Amino acid sequence: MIRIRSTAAALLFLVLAGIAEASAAPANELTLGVLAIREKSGLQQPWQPLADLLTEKLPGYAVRLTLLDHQEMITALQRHELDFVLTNPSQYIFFRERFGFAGLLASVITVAGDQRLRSFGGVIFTRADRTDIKSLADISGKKIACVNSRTSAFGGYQMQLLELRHAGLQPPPRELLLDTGTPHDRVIQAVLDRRAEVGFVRTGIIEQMAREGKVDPKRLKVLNRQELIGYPYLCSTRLYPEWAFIALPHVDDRLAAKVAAILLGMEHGLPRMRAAGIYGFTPPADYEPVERLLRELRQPPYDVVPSFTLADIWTRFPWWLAGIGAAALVILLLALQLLFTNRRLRGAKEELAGRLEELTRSEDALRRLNRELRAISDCNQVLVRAQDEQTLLDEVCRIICAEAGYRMAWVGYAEHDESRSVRPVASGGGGNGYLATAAITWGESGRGLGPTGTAIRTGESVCVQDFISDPRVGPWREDALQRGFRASVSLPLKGEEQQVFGVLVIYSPEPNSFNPEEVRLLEELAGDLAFGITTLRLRTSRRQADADLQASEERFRKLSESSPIGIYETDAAGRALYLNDKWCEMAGLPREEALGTGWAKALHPEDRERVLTEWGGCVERRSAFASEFRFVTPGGELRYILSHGVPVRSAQGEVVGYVGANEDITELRRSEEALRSSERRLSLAFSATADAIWEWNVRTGETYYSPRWYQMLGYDPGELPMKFDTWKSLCQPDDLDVAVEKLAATLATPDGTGYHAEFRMRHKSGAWLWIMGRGNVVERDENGQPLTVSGTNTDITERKNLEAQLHQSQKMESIGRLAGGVAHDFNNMLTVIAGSAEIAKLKVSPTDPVWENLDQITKAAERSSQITRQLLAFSRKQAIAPKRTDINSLIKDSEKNLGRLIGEDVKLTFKPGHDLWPVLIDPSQVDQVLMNLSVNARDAMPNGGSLTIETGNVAINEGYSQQHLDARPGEYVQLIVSDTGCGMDRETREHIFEPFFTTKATGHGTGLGLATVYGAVTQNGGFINCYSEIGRGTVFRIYFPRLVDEAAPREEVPQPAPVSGTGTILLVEDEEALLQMAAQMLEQIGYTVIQAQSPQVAITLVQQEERPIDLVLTDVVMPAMNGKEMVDRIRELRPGIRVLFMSGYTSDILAQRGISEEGAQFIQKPLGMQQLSEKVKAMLTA
Amino acid sequence: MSGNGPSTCCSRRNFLTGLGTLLLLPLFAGCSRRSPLRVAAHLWPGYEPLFLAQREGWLSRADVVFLETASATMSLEELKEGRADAACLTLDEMLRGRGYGIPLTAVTVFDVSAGADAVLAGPGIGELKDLAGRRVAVEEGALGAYVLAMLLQQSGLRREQLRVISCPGDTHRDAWQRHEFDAVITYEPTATLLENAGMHRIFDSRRLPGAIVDVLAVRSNLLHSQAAAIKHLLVGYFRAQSHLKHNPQDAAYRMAGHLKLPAEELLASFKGLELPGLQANRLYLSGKEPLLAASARSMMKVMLAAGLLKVVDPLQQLASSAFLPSEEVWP
Repeated sequence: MIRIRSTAAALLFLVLAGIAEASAAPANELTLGVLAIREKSGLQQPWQPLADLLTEKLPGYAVRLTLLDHQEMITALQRHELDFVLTNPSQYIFFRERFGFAGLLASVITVAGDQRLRSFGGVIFTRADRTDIKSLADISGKKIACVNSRTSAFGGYQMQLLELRHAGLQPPPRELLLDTGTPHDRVIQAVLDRRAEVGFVRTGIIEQMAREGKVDPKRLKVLNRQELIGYPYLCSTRLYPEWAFIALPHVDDRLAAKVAAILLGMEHGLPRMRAAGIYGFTPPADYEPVERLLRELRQPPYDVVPSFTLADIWTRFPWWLAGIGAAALVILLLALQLLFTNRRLRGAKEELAGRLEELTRSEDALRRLNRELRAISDCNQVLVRAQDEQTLLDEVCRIICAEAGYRMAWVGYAEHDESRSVRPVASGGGGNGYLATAAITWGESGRGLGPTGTAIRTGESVCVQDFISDPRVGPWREDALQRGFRASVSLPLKGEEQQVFGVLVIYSPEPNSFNPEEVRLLEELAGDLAFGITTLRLRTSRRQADADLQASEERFRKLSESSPIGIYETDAAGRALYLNDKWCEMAGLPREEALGTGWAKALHPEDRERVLTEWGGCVERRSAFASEFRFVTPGGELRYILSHGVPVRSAQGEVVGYVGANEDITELRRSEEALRSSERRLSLAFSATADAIWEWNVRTGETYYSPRWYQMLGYDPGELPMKFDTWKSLCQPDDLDVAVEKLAATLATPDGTGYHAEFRMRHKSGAWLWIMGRGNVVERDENGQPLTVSGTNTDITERKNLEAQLHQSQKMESIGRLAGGVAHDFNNMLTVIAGSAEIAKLKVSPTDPVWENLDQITKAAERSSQITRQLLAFSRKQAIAPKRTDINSLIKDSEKNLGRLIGEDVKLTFKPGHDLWPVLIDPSQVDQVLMNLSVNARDAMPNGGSLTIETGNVAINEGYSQQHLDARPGEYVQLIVSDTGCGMDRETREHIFEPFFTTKATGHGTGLGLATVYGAVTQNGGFINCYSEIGRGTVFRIYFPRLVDEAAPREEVPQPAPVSGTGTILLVEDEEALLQMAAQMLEQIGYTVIQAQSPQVAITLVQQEERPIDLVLTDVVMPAMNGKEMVDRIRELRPGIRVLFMSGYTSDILAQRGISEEGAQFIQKPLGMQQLSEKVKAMLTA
Repeated sequence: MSGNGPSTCCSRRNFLTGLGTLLLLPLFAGCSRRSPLRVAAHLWPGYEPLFLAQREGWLSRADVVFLETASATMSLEELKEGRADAACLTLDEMLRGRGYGIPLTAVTVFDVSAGADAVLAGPGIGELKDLAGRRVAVEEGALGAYVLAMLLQQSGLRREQLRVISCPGDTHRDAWQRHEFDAVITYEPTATLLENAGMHRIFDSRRLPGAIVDVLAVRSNLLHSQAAAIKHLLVGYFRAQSHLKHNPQDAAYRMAGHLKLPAEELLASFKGLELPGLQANRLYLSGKEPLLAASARSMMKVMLAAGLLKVVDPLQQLASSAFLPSEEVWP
């Protein structure tokens, strides 16, 4: 068929083509058809130039322009009225498929402004104010305007359709499409006029109308806007190639080629072509995307499904079709067979049904009776099984309906209230809500005259055979019929004595349902039900009585078992019949073992005999029993038991047994024991504490003093009467008033606490002890007046001493600061005074009387200066150079000097300690200390005595340091200076270290000696104690801290190098060690030394020596001959010889002793290398 | 009736497709957990269909993500640093990558330069010989070296006769405006821009047929694990390529923004490029001796001579056609 049709089409085409050729040729006129997408009238003028151009360029041809819409174009093509067509791409495809166009000559290039465009697209838009339409999805169900949805409106419909499809949307249904027809302007107008909500137009239309002022583009909103960079128009779809210029098949190839050449060769941008929007032509574009679009959308020409004939299918699938046919035939045959079998079966079934109906009828009556019997039987089952009344009633009602097939059954109880109501208590089956409104009574009027009320009143069953006609059911008829009740029977329920207490009412859906046989059976059922109810009620009341009894017993049992007391019951012979859990627990015996006489096993062996005797006695006397004894449990636990028992008498007054209770009083006994032991401990604590304890009865004045109290004061316990006055009598009268006042104040406070007083009490030895008393009111009478005051007395003498020390130390500290400050400033002023006096002395002659005065000033200033130096020493402000020092050797060095200092009447003894530790100290300060102490000792022993200096190592412990505030624990070197002098009293002792404190007569001593000692000791980190008693001498103990750090400087910091020199020096010194040392020093400096250990040797050496002697360096104080005498002798031998004296004494002392000469050169011992070298050099070069 | 038939048919087909998709869902779920294929690419018309495919939603971002770089060298760097799994590279860059020890396999040939790589000269230079003594700007890299080598070969000039200036590709336009060179070895779209700025073409890759190709090079070790993503990428790519070929105007406007060229010029820039379709790609990539291997060998010679490659590449696993779509893909 297809083949035939295509052949026919081909023939037709050829014929038509021939006609067309014939019709177009003679006129030499060519017709150019252009698809009109806007108003034709407005298009003629713009398009005419194209026809004119072709006419111009085609000699011998005239090109006529014709503008056609889609349908006109088709008609014209069918009539072969056109030679060339300029149309949109989809129409090109459509015509190509339909009319077999031969030549696609060119594609159009359009122009927008100055931009060339080879493609165009479609626009989907709505009004700008339609906020509900934002995307393609919002278009569904909206009215859409387009130029023509039925024809090939490519940019105006088909492109948009493809976008909808790609967005997953269905094409809009026909009724939602508004075809406005060309031009596209109408679409925009339709949307603006609200005839449609959405519009489809090709690209460029909106912009063109805007240019022409026909539309304000702001009023429109483009949907699915594409991002096409550089494309001048708004666009919602893909772009497709511009319009096609086509030559129809009948046009001669050469002519077509010429036209193509004209078009392609046409100058681009010809002004006259602008109006048509044509910029130029380009070689044909690829219209495949257009074709694909049309195929995908099944738009013309691809909207027709190819038709197939059966023959085509047979040709294509012969075997498949044969197979399917054969299968169908087999199915058909099987179906027919099934049909026949079915028909036979149906006949047999009908026959059977007839027979069955007969049987059914005859069985029906039997079945009903059977059902009732079964119901009765089931009800009887329930009667036997039922445990409570309600279940019984519910079950019976249910069974009557379910088994016997009645519509409803209910049970009501006749109430003896005012209205004699019948109270429904159970129901079964249907009849929803019937009873709620039935309001049945058993009174003698009104509703009581109904069948139910009658049955209760009369005790006879009442049958209603038909609710429609029976006058007795008037009030209930309508309701009953509505619920499908047609007949009923009311059956009285009778108690043991035939009294009616209720009713069972049964309803049937059919009239005349209750024949006498059935009523008899149902009456039987009602009788059984009434019996069942009565029985259940009886059973229930019996069960209740049993339960009450049991509860009572249970209560007693629980009471007994939970009792904290052991309960027992015995027979008249005293054998235990009952023992509760607590009894068993107390005894630690299992009940079965304790019953009878077994209970005695629990008794403590020591108590057993006694208790059994007591118990036996009571039983014999038939009297009550009371005893206290102990139980020992098998685990060895001891329990104290208090037991009471009373005889139980029978109605005849005969004792039949005992009941009694055992109370566990173990805790009580233990508490008593604990109390006793607590008292013992308290008493022990009293005796052990350091605090003395007292307790004062305010009313009687009786006062308890603890043994410690007596001990503290040196008495034996009880040696003084236990009275308040005892305390008063021992208290220092100065302190008593204050202490009593404080005590009275405490009594007056509301809480009676806080008594605290410090006072002195006299020890038995006569010494005064400092005591701290504390106490509180511990008992008051009913009026709140204090009854008992209790408290402690503590010996705080030691603490008081420490406080005094602290006070002293603080005082010394502040005096030191004061003295130091004064001394410093005073010293400065002295310098000025002395200096000024010296200068003034230079300005006057020594003969001038003023000179003497000035000299007095100078001397006074010098002495004052000495005082200030001592003050500085006391205030620890003197410049010192501490170094590693061996105190023993220092003392040895000073021994001789000290001996001289104290004079011959006092014997000096030095007892050096062994392996004495080194100390870090300025040695000159040790000298200072020794010197001052020795002087003081000497002054304390005007009639002679002995001064002992001892040294030793000592460790000061924590205990000592706690008693002596100055002392810190650690290792010390102890220096003891003791004398056998007059000693000091305490008062003096307390002040000795204070500057300017002196016991000496005015003018003797400055009062700064011991202050200096104190300053020197404390400045070196040590401390000093003084022990002294009048007439027993004085001991000063000085402690210098041990130098542990061996790295400490052994010598002073490096000194400037000694001044070297040359010459020969005669060195005279009686102490060999000193002689050696001085010789070494001088040799070191560069001098030649001639040594002499005595003046005689020196004189001999000078006599013998031929070498010149440049200098004599000699000690001053020497045995046999002093230095001055020796020098005099030497000068006789070597006149003019230079002499330098050296001595540990000051030059003043030497002068006083007359061993110094006027203008003699002197150097103070000990000798320093630097000092020596400078002095010697100065003398030799003078 | 004719309208109903197809729509029923289509809806049933849609249903079946949907059903198929449902059945495959667990598989896709498994795929989606895998990290996407990271592809480094710089701006080049030949690669643009990839980006077009992404913009049109034909590539799932769960499967493929693009790392846009400034140059092929940077793309290679991304590969080297492990930040990219694949890169759009010229063949010479791919060989350089392999030279660094990155195992790379070409899975598609994007384009073959047929004029896109060109030597442009300013006024006064008419032919290649006129370059003697002139300043010639070249981007450092194999491609520049290759074109330069070919230029020397065909002109008979020696390298010393030229004043070769190193100049990165993205600065050619500005450098020309500053008169920094007399001639330049460059490529599209810069070539078109420079022509618009007054230069003219004296030599281009049309005289080196099939030599300069751009490929998608994937790390060979990922070929198996990322097979699905690579296939997905190539389906998207060929779809976009088909769109470009069949509807160039539409494609041009859609690519203009990314390539930063007006649509009209953009299409012109493709004139220097052949975009091998599916069949042509098979020729390039499959067989015992794929066409790509021949191009690679020729390129390798120049690179070895220029010292851009230190060792000879045995060209193992150079190309694979296994990921190409099995049938034509339509837009």
